[in-house]
Order: sequence, then C-alpha cells, then structure tokens
Amino acid sequence: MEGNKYSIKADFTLMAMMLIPIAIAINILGGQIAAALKLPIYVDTIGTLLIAILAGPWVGALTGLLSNLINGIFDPVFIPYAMVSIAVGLVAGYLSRAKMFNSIGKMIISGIILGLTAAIISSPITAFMFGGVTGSGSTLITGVFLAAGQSLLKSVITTSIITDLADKIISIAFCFFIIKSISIRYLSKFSLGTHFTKKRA
Amino acid sequence: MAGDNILKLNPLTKITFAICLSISVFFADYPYALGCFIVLCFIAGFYRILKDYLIMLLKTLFIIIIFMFILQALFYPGHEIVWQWKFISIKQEGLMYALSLSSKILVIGGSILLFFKTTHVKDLVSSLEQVGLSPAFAYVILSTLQIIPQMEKRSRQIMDAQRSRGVETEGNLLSRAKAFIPSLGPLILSSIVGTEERAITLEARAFSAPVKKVRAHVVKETPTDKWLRILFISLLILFMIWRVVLWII
Repeated sequence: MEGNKYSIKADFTLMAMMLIPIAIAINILGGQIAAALKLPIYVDTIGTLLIAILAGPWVGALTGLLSNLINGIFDPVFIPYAMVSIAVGLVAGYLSRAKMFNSIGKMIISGIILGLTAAIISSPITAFMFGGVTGSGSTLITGVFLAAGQSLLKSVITTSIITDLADKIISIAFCFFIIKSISIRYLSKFSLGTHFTKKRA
Repeated sequence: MAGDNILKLNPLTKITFAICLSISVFFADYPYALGCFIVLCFIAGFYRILKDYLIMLLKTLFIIIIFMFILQALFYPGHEIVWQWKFISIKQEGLMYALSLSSKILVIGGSILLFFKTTHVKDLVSSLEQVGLSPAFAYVILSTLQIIPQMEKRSRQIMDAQRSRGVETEGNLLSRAKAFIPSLGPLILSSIVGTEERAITLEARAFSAPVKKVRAHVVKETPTDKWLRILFISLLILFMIWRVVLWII
C-alpha cells in the first residue's frame, strides 16, 4: 500500500462489508455495556472508529449512518445524529489514511480532532432540533451554562466538547488495544490494515 | 376489515406517508402538528397496536419533551412571565417555543416509530432492493439485524464469565471502568474472527458474482400503492404551496 492509491471501491472489500454488521453491533453493545457498568460516557462509536481506521473513510461513514438508522428503529431521536456518526467515520478514516493512529501522541491529537468534529456537528442538532435537550445527564451541564447566562448554542457546544472529547479519546485508546490484538494475517485484508502491521513486524 | 388492508400496503407507500407527514409539519404551527399526531394514533388504532405504540413513545420521546419544556420554560429569553417563584420564572415565549418544537418532534419521531412498528425491516429492505438497492448492501442491513441479538447474548455470557473470574463490575468508577476492556474486548475479537468465515461462505455461494440476483422474498406492489404514493406527494406539494402563499401574503 505505497503511495496514495485510495478509492472508494477499493475500500469496500467483501471483508470490509462483512465487518460492517459487526461494527454496528459493537457501537450498540459498547453503549449498552457502558450503561450497564454505569460509566459516565457513551462510547457508542467504537465500532465506527474501528472500521474507519481499518477500512477507510467511506466504509466508516456508511457504518455510522446505518448504526444510527438501526438505533432509530427503536428510538427515532438517533436519526438526526446520523450526521455526527457519518462525520466521525469520515474524519477517522482520513486520519487513518494519514497514519494518525500509529503513535500515542498522534492518537491523542486524532482524539481531539474527532471530539471537536462530533461536538461541532452534534451541537446545532441538539440546540435547534431538540431545544438543547439530550435526554441524558449532560442536559444538566447545559442547564448550568444556561443559568450562567450563556446562549443556548454556546451552552450546548461547551457541554458537548467536554463530553465528546473524553468519549473519543477513550474510544480511540480502546480501538488501539483491539487493533493490537488482531492478528496480522487478518489486518492485512483491509485497505488500511497494513498501516498497523509494518510496525509490529 | 380496513386494518387488514392497510397492513398489506407496500413499505415504500408507508414510508412515503411518513416522510410527507414529517416534512409537512415544518410548514405549519403546532395545532396542525398535534392534529397529525392524533391521525398517527388513529392509524395505530387501526393496526390494534395503539397501547404498544404509546408505551414506546413514552419510553423514547416523552422524556426529551419533558426536559425540553423545563429547559425552555426556565431559560428562553422572554418578557411575559406566567409564573414566578423567587428567582425562577416561567415565560410564555419559552413555553410556546417548547410546544412548537416538541409537537414537530412528536410527529416526526412518531411517524418513524409507527412505520417500523407496522413494517418488518425485511420487507422494507426487499422492497428497496426491488427499486434498485444493491443486494450486497441489503445483505449488510439484514445480517446486522440478525447479528445484534446474537452478540447481545454473547456479551452477557462474557460479562458473566469475567465476573466469575473476579473482574469487578461494581464498586467505584475506576474499577467499573477497568471492567470495560475485559467485557467488550473479547466480544469484538471473537466476532471479528468469525467474519472471515462468513466472507468465504458467501463467496462460495457466488455473493459477489457480477450477475443478476434472484430473490426468494418478493414484496407485492398493487396499483393502490402507486396511486396512494402519488396522492401523498401531491397533497404535500399542494399543502406547501398553500402555506408559502399564505406566508408571503
């Protein structure tokens, strides 16, 4: 995989397609396990991040879109946030093409970029479609900022930057752990998987 | 038996109705949106799922709507104070804003929920495939829906197994956070290993062969479906033109 010969079609290998359902299930179950352990973060994008890092931006974007649509079958609130998941998938995929997940320092920078992306895209949705409410504990933080006299959009953005940054950095650390545990034989079957095999070999 | 007839509508017809209704609420005020919601409830009644439907709405949308009323009533900038207690005051503008926003959310969310409550995803995907969705993509959606419950089951087994090995899943935040990796890690790794086998199995059945695929599950489409779809879309366009003309005048 030398040079920059990336294309959408090359990303969608059969292996990548087979990983999409798994990644969607990981998104949903990651959120469920975090809720079962009563952790204060969502971690519901691990699957999207993992598949975007391995198979590129467009597979990641599709996984994000489908995750939110499938969650939306049971809770329609998820559907407008599909935009956020698509963006997270795209950005993570392009960061992975630029080899931004190959060292701890780069991963932290990637986490910050992804957290900001998620916050910037989700905030207008929360502020204008749901009047600042997310149905989780973070609404309380928004309320505190509102009470301090900030505007609605500003309060929501501040809240989501706090929650999303933590969420994305933890999720990326987790993905790194998973990718390290996957065998080289398997990693090499994805378009970007070779980025993680050379270092180990 | 009106209910039986609606049940047999093509999924695309139902989703056209849901989308048209959702778009239309942006062109009118909250009384119209609340009217639409009552229509949705009537349709749910036709299918005899009204109780289930309302319970599902309560679990998902109502929480957000209640929070929204509290947040907007307290913090929306306004002058007409309805009720005041010390420094807390509820303003009329905030209540109206919350009402108009939540009635729209109720209709959009409600029509999506009703659609999926009355349609099997299998039927939806098949009918999308009949109008040109790629079969590989359809397979991905359907296998996702099968995999989720399987992985849910495995996730519970893994958590139980880890607990029996002594991994703390309760206690303070740090020990709960530490339990996250042994709970989710094995689940992801074991599922990823299985994908290669599935890819080989599908390949052996000519999954990516460049030929026209036949399908076992065909969703019927009647002339009624076509006419209803045209009716919904033209009603939406007429409604939009009417509202925009009123708005300009």
